Amino acid sequence: MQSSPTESMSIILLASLVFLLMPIFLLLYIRSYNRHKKNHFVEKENMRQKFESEILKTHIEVQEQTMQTIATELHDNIGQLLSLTTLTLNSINVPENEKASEKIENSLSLVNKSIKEIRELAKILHGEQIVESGIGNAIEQEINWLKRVGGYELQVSNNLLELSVSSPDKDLIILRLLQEIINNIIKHAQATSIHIDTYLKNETLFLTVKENGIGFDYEAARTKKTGIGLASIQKRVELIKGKIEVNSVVEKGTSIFIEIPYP
Amino acid sequence: MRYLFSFIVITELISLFFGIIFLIRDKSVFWRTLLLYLFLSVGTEILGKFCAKTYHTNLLVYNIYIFIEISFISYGFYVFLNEYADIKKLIFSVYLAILIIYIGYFIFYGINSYNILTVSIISVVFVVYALMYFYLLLKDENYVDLKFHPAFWWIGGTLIFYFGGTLANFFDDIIRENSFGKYGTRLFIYNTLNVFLHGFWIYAFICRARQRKVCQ
Repeated sequence: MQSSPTESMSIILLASLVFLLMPIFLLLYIRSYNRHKKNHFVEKENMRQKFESEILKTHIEVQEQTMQTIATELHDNIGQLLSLTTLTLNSINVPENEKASEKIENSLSLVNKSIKEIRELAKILHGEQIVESGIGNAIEQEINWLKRVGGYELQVSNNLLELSVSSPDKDLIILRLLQEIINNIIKHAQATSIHIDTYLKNETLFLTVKENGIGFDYEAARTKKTGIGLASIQKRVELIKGKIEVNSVVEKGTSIFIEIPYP
Repeated sequence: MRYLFSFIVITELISLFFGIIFLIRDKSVFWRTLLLYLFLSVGTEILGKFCAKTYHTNLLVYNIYIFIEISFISYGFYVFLNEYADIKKLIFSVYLAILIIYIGYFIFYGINSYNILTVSIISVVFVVYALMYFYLLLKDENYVDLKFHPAFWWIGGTLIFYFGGTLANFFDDIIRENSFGKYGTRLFIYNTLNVFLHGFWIYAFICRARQRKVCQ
């Protein structure tokens, strides 16, 4: 039994329709598979970020512990030793020898200065204790230390002194951020003027540090990953879900703007 | 003049129009060549209609166009597949083999016989290339948003066109002898496939323009 031309045509058309629909379903399947792939990709990326964040957190904790140990050592051992030396030197009675007396006086002065410096250093290292009195006070102490170091024209606007809220974990990281920024300025910037501005607005803590130093190529430092200090600052900001913007112009200086959700 | 503007010509003209809007500023050689290809496609269709009316045959025009089609579509697949695998040698070898068949057919049957053998073979080859691309795309570890991925839509359209046209090519002789209602069956199938092909391609142009804008 032979089929008529119309029947043959209908079969061919129907088969062509199937052949047309098959790739369409294939494309739909690929899109659906790709969506699953996206979920997997996002999950993987989240896990990676979480892992990096954990590593960084551990790293900071270890660093903090090390600093605390050093601070305790400085304060309790070396500090005590120096204090004892002062007492011993004080107890020596040499009225007949003016020169020896003068030397001992000088030594005493030096030892006292060392004790003072060590105490200051211990305070800086012992971040947790500093931030206990609030982030505003911790920043103030850091600025006071910077004033004592001298050599910089400081313009400070610290509006965090009377804060009614606090976040101990973030406070410590914010303090370390500021310390890292100031250390970078002292070590590399060759600046003569530093401007520090801090304030809290709409549950966001703003920290701005501007200086008039030699500046640097920020993008190059970021891509070449040469600025370890800078990378560390960025990682710390990311850890507390903050934002950082670095504007640097060679021979003009650098401005760093940090925004952190707070508390 | 009206007879020159058939359904296929209008579809291709719309595709060319959108191509000019979205791709004219594109710096990629492939996307720019695509404009030329669309222009040649429209030109072939119009010339084909003119020759059919004037000389009662247009097979020579379409036979020449097959060469342009093989070259450009192979180039397109080379560009997209090359992102995932080193297939330069494979595509070039297959391209040469197709050209040999293409020329061989004319030696045996003459230039005025429609080269359906080559058309059927390239349909299968392009379908394999498209499936290869999708396999590599899915196998790739990196995720791409297919909704705005021009390569996906370009290849998607091409796959539908060549896969959907496979039966029409294989049963070319039967189809030519019969018609479906008022229209020729072959024409009916190819009009439908062309709508899909150019619809997908137009969307690929939009994705490409968006991709270019995002990258700028």
